[in-house]
Amino acid sequence: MYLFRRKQHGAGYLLGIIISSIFIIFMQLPLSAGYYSPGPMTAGHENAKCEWCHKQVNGTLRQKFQANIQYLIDLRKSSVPLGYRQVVNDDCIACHKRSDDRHPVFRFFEPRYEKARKEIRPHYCVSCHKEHSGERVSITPTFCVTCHKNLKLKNDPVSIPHEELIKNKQWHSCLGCHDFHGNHKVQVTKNVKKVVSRKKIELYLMGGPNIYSNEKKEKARETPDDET
Amino acid sequence: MMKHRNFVLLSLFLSTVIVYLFVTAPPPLVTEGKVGPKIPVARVFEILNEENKIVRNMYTKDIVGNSKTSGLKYSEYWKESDVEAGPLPAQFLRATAVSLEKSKLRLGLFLGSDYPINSSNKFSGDQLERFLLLKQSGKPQFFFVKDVALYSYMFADVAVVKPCVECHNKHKDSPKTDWKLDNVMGATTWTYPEEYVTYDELVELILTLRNAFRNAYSLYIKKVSSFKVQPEIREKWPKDGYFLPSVDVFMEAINQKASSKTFNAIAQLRQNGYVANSDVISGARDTGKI
Repeated sequence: MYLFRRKQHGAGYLLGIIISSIFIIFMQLPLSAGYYSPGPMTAGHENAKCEWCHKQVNGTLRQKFQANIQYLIDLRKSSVPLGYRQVVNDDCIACHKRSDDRHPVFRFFEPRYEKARKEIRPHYCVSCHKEHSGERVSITPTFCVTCHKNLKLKNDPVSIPHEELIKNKQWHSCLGCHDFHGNHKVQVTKNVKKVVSRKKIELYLMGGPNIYSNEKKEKARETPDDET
Repeated sequence: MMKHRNFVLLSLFLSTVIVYLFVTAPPPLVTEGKVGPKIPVARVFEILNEENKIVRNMYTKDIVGNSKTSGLKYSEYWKESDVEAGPLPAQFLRATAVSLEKSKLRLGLFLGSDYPINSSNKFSGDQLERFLLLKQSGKPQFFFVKDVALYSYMFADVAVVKPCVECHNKHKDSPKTDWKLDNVMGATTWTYPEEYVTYDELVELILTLRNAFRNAYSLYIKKVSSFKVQPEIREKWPKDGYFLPSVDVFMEAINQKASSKTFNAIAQLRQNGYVANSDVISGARDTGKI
């Protein structure tokens, strides 16, 4: 009886090991990526590969363990992730290089943007473009208020002056004229009546139809390694 | 008996962990594997700023400043396809900064003022306080930006030639119209994440900055190729007429004007044992910024 139970236990352990191994191997396959992706990809990123953004830190597992222990006892300045490192701006810029970005992320590292960094974290791409959410932009479209609430133009060319729009807190209207990164070839209207409606803006940010020109100044690369 | 056994097992386990983590440790990760003398980043910023000052003065005086002789135009709208003009000095610096951002180094370069033409370049918060201190004392300001963990050095941006003053005084959006020559019109702020850099990193930073100057000037030359009547782009400079120096000639001029200064600064660093300018570092510590 005792021997029979031991054999049963052994078979159970073996079965568990086999099932776990199959599961682990399956999860490593590219076709299983969809199972552990936290949500749908942003419009245009459908064909992106996981490894384009999710990168391992260099070094062996042992080196990483050692580095973290050294960090804990103050022998090292920074810790090291054991698996994948955080997605950083460079991962986005690898495909989305912009020579004339109106709001490039790096500008927000300047000391004077401390308040903006606290409020909306504009120094990181992922603060507004949260991946796996299915949305084009994941921030409320009134974020311009953070930096532009004191905007004053001496020669305002717009039919309703910016100062008045600001006074009336019409922050949703900004994106109706201005393309945040300035990558769409578009003539900014001076007539506030022609501004894109709030509903259309929100739909666009959620991944809906383009509200700006389809013609872009600089196209995103097909892959991060694409040199064309 | 049981307690004794647990103690032996625990000791064995800990000994194995210590041997695993420290005694037979593989080489540390490359991110922390810097070797060589530590050069304080404040000194590095001073060297880079001197290079930038030389190039900025050269572009402002010799290129933009001679626009009356050359007939070449410079406009804030220079990037528009229907505008035949080149970048203004502030935009040249901005183009340099954009190029730096594209490099692998995390070197930041920014231009701002308390009275900028474009309100988005207006200083605020701690940076404004630093700028006012800079204007008052005449000394550059070294400080640490806590929330992004960046070392920062702010240098005065002085009106060196008449066109700076004239353009800022005449501009329709300028909030200040009584600028005079030699006024501190703004400041150039540098940022870098490390407190110290190695000699190799210093050289790489200088080369990266030089490359950024090249890229910024190349953008202008590329734009010129779309002009209906293009200026001759070879050895001659705008002081001689409708000419522009080629990218290589422009870079050679930078080399001649900046290299000896930069070399002397590096040599001085070595002579002094790579120590920081004590005034700068102690000043930053006193204010709790480092």
